[in-house]
Amino acid sequence: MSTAPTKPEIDPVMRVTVKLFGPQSVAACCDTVEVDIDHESPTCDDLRRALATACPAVAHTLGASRFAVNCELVDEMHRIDAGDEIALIGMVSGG
Amino acid sequence: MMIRAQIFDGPLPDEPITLQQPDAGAVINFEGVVRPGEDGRDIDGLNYQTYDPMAEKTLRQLGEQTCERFGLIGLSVEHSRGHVPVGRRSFRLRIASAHRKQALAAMDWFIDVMKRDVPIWKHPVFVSDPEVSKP
Repeated sequence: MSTAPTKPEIDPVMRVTVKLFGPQSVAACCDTVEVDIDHESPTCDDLRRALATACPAVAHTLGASRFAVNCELVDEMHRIDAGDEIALIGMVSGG
Repeated sequence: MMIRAQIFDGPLPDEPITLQQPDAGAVINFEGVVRPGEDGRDIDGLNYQTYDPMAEKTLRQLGEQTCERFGLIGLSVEHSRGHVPVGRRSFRLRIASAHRKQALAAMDWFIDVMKRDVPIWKHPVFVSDPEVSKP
């Protein structure tokens, strides 16, 4: 008896690049972080958790930081699309 | 209503952006100047890092929000990017309104929100160790 070939499982992971600036960039020793999010359509809240794991050096600053997606500040429920430009906006010190 | 927002490389020009508003009874000007010390240590200046193009865009949007919130006639904001030596200007905000109270309240509100939301970071260049604080 033949069995139907199994379809390869698609790993529902989105990989995003997060730009870092200021003290967060200094703490991480880099200006971008690659983050894998185990979600097909992640929110910024999902990204925050994944970023804390991917970059522990900035984890303690994330609570007071926000994300900018395509140069606009967004809230936690904003969904991220593949190809979005994402930046962590925290500890700003202009003026 | 006139709103101008501009980021300059290095220190700001000595002359501010013109904000000619014939109906304005009050025009106030705030300038941020780099102090000689930071965290109790002497500095050569500040290096300002900006997330472009979001920084200038956010300054302009904040200018629009401020004008609407306080009923202003005009607003111009200038900010530096890159190195600004001690004693030079790195930030300038000019506000024009019909009366004094709106302008003074708006000035305070704009700066508070800017220091929370606008993607600009300053890094002190310490005299004793200029490499330490590079972004």
